[in-house]
Amino acid sequence: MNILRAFTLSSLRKNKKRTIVTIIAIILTAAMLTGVTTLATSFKDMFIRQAINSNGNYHIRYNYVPIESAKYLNSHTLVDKSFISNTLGYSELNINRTAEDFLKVVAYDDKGLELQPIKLIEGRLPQNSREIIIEQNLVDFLDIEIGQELSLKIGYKTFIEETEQTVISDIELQEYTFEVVGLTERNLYQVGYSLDFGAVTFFDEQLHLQDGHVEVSVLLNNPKNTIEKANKIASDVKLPTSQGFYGNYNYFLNRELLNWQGASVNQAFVYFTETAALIIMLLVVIGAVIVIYNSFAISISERKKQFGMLRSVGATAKQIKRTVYWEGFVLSLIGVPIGIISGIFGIFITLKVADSILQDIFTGAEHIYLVVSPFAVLAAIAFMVITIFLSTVIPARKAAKISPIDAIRLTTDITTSKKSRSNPIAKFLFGIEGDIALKNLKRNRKRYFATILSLFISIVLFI
Amino acid sequence: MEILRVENLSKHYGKGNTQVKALEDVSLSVKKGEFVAIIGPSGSGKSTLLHLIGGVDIPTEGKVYIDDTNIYNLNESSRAVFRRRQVGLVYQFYNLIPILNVKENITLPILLDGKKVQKDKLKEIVNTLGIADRMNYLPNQLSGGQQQRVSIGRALINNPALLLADEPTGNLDSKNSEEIINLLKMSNRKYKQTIIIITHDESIALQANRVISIEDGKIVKDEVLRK
Repeated sequence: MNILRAFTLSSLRKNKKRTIVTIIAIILTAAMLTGVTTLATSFKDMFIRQAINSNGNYHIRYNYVPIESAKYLNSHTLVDKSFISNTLGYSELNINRTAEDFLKVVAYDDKGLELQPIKLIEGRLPQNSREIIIEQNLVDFLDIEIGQELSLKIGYKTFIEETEQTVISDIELQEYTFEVVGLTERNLYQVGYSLDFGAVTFFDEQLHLQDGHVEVSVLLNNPKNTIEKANKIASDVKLPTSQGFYGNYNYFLNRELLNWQGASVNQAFVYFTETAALIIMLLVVIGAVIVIYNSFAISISERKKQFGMLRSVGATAKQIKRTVYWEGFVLSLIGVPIGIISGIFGIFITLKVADSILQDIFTGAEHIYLVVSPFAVLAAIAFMVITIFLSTVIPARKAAKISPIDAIRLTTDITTSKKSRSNPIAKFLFGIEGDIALKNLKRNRKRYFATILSLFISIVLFI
Repeated sequence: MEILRVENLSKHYGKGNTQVKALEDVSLSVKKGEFVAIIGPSGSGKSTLLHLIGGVDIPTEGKVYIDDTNIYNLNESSRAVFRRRQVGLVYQFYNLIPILNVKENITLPILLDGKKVQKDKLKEIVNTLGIADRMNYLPNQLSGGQQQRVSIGRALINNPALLLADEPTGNLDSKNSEEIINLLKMSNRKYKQTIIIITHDESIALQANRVISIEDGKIVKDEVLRK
């Protein structure tokens, strides 16, 4: 091994206490950084699942798409996956739960059944348009079981102003008979936050289509710039134009899902969450740099004489600099992996506790799981590299600047430029020890400042 | 053959009224194989001269040629490389690296170059210096005399053009002092090693081939004792 590396290693071994303290500082920093990134990805994962469960698993939903165009949408290069759905309409349930009880019936093709967050409790998914799955809570209201038939008159909701009631319009009322094949959990994604119930059937050729048009829901390869892409896809497959909310096509966006996937239509939302995480990480980095920098600075100043001697036998400034960086590298090599693992473990425990508390407070809340993404770990490592570099760059320069002459003549006596006066209050309160401590603090204001600042940042981060 | 030429070398500290002229317009020349003693009272500028010759300090004015290279024309890092290859330095307080063992301390200039140590050369030097059985010791496990031998070994390992010694016996008892001087004399004879030694001890100076006296930063006497 290179002699200077060996020199660094043995001086690290010689100063075990400080080495350990530095490694602990590195471990804590790496743990905090990984903690922040992992916490962010875990929460993001939870919110994405929540968005899918309440809004559905799609980015863009094209309404009123001619059935022939559906396959072109599916094969578009910007599209990852797509599925066809068709809202058959609503059926009035005379179950007297509330004044207005409606069942919303939607048909999905096989990909839709696969992608949408349908949570089957019993039975199986529908395989043709004569089969249906319904919410489990309907079983009691309708007195129906799996295997039994369900006849529904399906039409569209209309609001009657005179009676202030919503009813199913008689126009275009269709009668269907389904076989119930499965029971699901309540499908929020399907009915939104209304009091309606939901039922899902299979979309096949036999199903009556309202003049040959369907809804096509699309998941993009990359959800960024959603509106732009949505319009491009629509014009590429020549969808009929109509005055829509985002332009000349009739579609809507799953804004909640897009938000959490970092492709917010409202970019401010993305910036806000990203900036918040970044600020926390920067605070961690600043705090860490102060602590780790101090440790390196002390390590260098203690070895000032040795560096000077190395210089006098012909070590170049570059070689000296490299030994300091090497020192940082070695300490990181030990500290960073331990820090990352303990950070992840810490978040794992935190989420376990947080999840059980959340489940207690909000029944039916989405579970939160630990998500360790390579990106989160890499981001933590990148911030760690920056931290170590910032902490070592000045000590490295200082070490390289030590001239052989300085080392030869070095006297590390404590020098004070001014005669420091005793503070009578400190002397009275803490005796001679307090007086000496205060004088010592005054003597080295920089270090005093660094200590205060690192304490301050630790407290802020803790809160 | 001339191995060292110093031309109009000056070193000033500070400015204005408080300026100290440590060295004032010093010129001298040393031939290969000479054993030169620089003598003078403390504060006369002899250490400053040695540091400037060794390239560890920066002169205010003047030139230093070692083997026809003006070392102050080199940039800082080339000068460091030049120093480790062409100049061996021995200090009063040994200046060994406390956490490296004897072998590592001696071979440090070679290791800094990233080169392989020639085992025969190392063996010969440590045998000559009488520290062959101390190779794995750390400096603080050795006596002062032994530590100084290690630092001489470090100075000799690269066959430098110049060996510079700053009060090498200043911290040693008379018996060890004599041995160290004998070692320097021997390496001067055996390897035709050019040596410049600083001392304020006249009895040591008289063992050199040539004695240069310095007072107030100027050469006041330069006499050849023996050829």
